[in-house]
Amino acid sequence: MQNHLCWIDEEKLKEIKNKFPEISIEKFPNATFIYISKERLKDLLKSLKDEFGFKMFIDFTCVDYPESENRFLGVYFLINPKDKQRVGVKCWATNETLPTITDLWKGAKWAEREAYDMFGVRFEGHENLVRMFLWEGYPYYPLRKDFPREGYKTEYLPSLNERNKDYPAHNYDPNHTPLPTLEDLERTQKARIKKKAQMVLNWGPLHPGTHGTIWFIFDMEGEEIKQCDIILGQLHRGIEKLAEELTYTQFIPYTDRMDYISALCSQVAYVNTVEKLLKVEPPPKAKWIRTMMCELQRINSHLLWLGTYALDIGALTIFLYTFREREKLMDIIEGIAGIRLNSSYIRIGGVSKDLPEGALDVIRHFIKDFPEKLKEYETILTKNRVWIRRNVNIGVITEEDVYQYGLTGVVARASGVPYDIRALQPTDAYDKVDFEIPLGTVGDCYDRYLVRMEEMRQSLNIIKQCVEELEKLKDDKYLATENPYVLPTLEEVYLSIESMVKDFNLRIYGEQAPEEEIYLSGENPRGELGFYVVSKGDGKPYRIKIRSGAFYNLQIFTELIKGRTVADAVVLLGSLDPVVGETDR
Amino acid sequence: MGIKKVGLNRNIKPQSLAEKIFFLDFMKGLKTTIKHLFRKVITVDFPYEVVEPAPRFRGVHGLRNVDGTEKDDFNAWVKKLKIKPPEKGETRCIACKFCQAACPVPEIFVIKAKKLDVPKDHPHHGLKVLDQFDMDLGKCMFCGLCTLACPTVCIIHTDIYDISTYTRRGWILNKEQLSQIADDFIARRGKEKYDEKSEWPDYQKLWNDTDTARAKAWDNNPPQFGPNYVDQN
Repeated sequence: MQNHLCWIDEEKLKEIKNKFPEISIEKFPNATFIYISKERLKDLLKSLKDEFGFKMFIDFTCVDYPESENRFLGVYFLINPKDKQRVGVKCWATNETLPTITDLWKGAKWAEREAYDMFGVRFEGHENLVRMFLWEGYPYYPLRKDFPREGYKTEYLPSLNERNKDYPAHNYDPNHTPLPTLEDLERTQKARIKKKAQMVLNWGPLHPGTHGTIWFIFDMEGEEIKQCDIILGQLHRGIEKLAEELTYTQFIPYTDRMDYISALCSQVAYVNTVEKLLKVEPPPKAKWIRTMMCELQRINSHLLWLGTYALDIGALTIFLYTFREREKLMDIIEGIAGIRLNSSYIRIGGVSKDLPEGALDVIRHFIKDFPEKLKEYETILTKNRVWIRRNVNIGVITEEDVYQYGLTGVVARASGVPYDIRALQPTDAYDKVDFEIPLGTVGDCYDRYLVRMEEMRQSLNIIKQCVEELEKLKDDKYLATENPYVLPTLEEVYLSIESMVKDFNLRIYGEQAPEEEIYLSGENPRGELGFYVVSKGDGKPYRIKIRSGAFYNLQIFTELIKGRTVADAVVLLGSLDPVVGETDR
Repeated sequence: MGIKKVGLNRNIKPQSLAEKIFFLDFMKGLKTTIKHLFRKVITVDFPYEVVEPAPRFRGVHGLRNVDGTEKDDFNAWVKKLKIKPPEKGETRCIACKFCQAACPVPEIFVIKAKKLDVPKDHPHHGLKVLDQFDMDLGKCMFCGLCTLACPTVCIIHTDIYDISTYTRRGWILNKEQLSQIADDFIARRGKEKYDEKSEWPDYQKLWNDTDTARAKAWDNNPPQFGPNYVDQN
């Protein structure tokens, strides 16, 4: 048994081939897919789940090939947690339909809804196939290749162009894409749940307790929530669509804006995927910087979570204390990367700039300071009676739920599943640092709290090792500019004509990636952030699917809240910790 | 790489009588908060006291003018793109549009160069000059890709962050405004950010460590910058 997560081995493929002789296997250096016909898809998935141990659902998506006979290709990703193997299953959607797999994995419910919303692929047997992000009655399917990036501008809004004559540039188009009307929203809400109990309560989309713009619908019997559904999409910007018209480098700033609380982690996850695709190896110094920045960002993200979570439950002071520490981290990130939140610091082949003078001193100062503050938070919270009453045995997630819903990150680890991409599939310098994976025992909100607190300590430990290592690597390169896919630095452009030509070509035509497909993920503070990149050999990706941890983690909320009160909804949502930028993308 | 179980010892006993009467749990938490009551203020009194952004901070863009600190290949670029050689105080922009090509949202930029209207025997005949350089900052992500692409270090990020206006029109800056912003910034903090060849120097600091406002935010115990680790042996 190998230690690291890899793709399905030959032995298993042979066994599957014996059982299903009609399959064909597609192999890429960093992905393995099994093609199966639509009729046999359910049998294959069932057999993969029950016999071959691929019981964890990771992702489902579609890819649009307009020239192909059957236009849409469904792609499933599964994980075997015991043997640490991944597999991809591909199936053509004949007549734009696919069988639903929600009876095998409950987590596929939203993924299928998203595919229906974006591609118009229908799923036979799905319990409630409605739109995921857009409103009911929206006539188009935006991720289809024939849908223009700007959308169809049908609404006339001339007031946007009332401006002086002395600004000849940047006139806005008076025609705009339509927005949902109130009737549309009402229809959307009615399509989501059928009222069975006493009254329907709307929570959000603009409620501070929802941590963003999530719209919850609770069907309530007295104080008790009988059924629940969530309407997402208020922050949907179509990042996956935008990616199709940008080069790989230009997409980096967009990855910041998905999970804006842990922007650096998203960048690293994306850049690692593209580097694997382009076969770029960043220099060791860049790897250590990335690991260090990722962990700083993780502490930053967990501090924001702790502050707002405690604020939701009523412990106001914690919010002030955590934001004090967070401000210091923000200062460090601003000094190194340039911007506090959406830093866009990582580049393909390394990092955009070397660490400035004093960076390591400041980080060392922070490491020295922080454990004491962490203890302070724990003194106030961990044994606090109100805290315990509000957290213990609320929202218990079992190990089976983790596999069923594809839960990742802290939510999985609090339920006792040691699923941590940093340890399972180490990228950057994670294979060189020493850290422990905190695991919960019960899987309730209290465990998730404890796991996150322990994770901050472990992150601190990793940063300490990174700082020590970076002191040794003082004069090393931070960008692998010798690689043909890496943008040269300005100094190099100035010194050699080859660099100038390379710079020009990469900026204008993009990184000409090989014709390949790849799925790689990184451990975000919110769970596994995976990127499935389909490259057709152009400078731009053919399709990027973002597997967002928060999207799948949020899905279990509707189940956990059943039979509980609204007061628990706040706690439960806080402990699942979704970020709307990432769920909606 | 190991596994560490948390929450093994939950130990949730019912409250004892003493705890109920004297609110002992409550006191434990209060001890921490009362300790904080006697600490120095860490908040910054914003409009009257401002934290100076880091040198690397990416704020509103500026277009640098020729001031004798150009890169050595500046003249070669000017010649290659058939731009009128700029005098001191004129813009460094050579209308190469590399910034636009590097930008994820290229519609931010409107860059135009025009041919000079001079007689045939004039030395500048057939050369171009930058005519229009408009930026719509309302569409900008401040990702910094344009500044890294600029071959003449003309387009730069300044430390200005308060750009709110009453209309969207206010975010559209033309080349005069952008030049003014850059001139102000270079006069204010140019030495900190750029060396005499307009490159980021090695001595560029994480932030200004004498800033008193920032020291407040660091618990009035700001980190001391040691010797630059690049030079440390």
